[in-house]
Amino acid sequence: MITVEHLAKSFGDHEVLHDISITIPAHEVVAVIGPSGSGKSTFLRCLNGLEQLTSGKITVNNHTLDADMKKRQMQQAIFAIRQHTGMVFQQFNLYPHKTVIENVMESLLVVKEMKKVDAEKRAKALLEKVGLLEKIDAYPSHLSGGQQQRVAIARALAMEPALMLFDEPTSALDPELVGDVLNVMKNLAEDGMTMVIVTHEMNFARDVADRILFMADGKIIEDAKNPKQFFEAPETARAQQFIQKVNEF
Amino acid sequence: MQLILDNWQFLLQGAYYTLMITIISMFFGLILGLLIAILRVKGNSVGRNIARFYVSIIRGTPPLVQIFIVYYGLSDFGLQLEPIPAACIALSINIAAYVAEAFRGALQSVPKGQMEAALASGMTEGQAMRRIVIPQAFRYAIPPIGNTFVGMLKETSLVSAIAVTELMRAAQLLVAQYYTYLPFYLAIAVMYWVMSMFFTFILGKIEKKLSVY
Repeated sequence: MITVEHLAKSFGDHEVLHDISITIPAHEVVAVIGPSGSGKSTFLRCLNGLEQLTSGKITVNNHTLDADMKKRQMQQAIFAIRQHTGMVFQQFNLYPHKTVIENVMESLLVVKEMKKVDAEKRAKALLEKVGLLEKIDAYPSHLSGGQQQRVAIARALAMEPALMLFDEPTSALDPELVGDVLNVMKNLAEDGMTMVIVTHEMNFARDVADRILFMADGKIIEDAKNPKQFFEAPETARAQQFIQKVNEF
Repeated sequence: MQLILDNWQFLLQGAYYTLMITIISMFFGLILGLLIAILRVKGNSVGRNIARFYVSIIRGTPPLVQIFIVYYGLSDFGLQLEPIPAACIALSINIAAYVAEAFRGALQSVPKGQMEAALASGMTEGQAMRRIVIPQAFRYAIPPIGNTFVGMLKETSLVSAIAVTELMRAAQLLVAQYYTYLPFYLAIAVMYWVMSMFFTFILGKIEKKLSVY
């Protein structure tokens, strides 16, 4: 599903990602964890072209994005990748001038050029799935953070993505609202969705993810296929240090 | 007072031209201003520089000079415009620069995440601008653009200098006829004020309508 080869990313002189290579098969749920500033979010944002690659190559769903491509080719590749990739942001980024159902329908109408009735039908089904059917005509500003994030998930799912990217989806939420969002994500994982999740929710990562990528200083330090084992006894010193810090609370 | 009542039709006709010139210039100025703002924010470096140069020249020169250039200056090139079209063109060009600045600020105050969310969900940059960013920018832009329009209404008095018989010139002609200043200038001051209030009222309505979310 995803192949990353020698990905590097710099902001000016500052290199945030160093030579990252990794393969993620379909239906895998990958949690990316690590200290802040380790490049987790940048890595995720490279996967759907929200950040420009400095060097290296990314293949998502058979569409290849190469840092050496010409601008036009690159735009086409990014566009193709985004057609099959949903993304959920830390700050939700719902469209504030549109109602809940309009948020979910927007790309169906604009990108897929679907008929309004069909789009409405799909949007309603998805909003039911995330438990917000009664809020369809509300504006995002009238919803709690947790509700907004569930709408954002429904909006991403509307495009029937083969891959979902989550960029710290619960970090901006009040603690009591985190659970609802994580439940929706857990259901999604159980349905077999391929997911890459940047998160600070260690329990969620341990219980739901199939695989942990531990990042620090712009590198993948540890690639753990067994999350439970990773959280009990990480192999690398850097990860041990991190897990110990997290467990102190 | 009697003088005003005797000449109310003439003054009203002046107000009609003032309003007409304002609305026409607002309309074209708004369209031109939006295009310039988008060019300034989203254009390539040539486009951005053109937009910046335009705004800087228009804001850095007196509107009266701009009006004279369009009306008298263009006739040197064999383009002899009638006063009213010349007034509308000059004021549209003028107001476009101010609309562009207001709208540029508004475009930049739409959070970056809005564009990213739209792109991530498969839209092209153009679709994202049209459907997501510009509608939100409109809402931010209404108050400053509203101020610009009210300012514009008053600025139309400048086109009296090229013999457009709008409100200002109507008063000047009456003054010349009756040799008395105060009643006519007071009368048009009231009329300008009423029209400004009317614009402010409409803008308030639009703003309210756009603040449903």
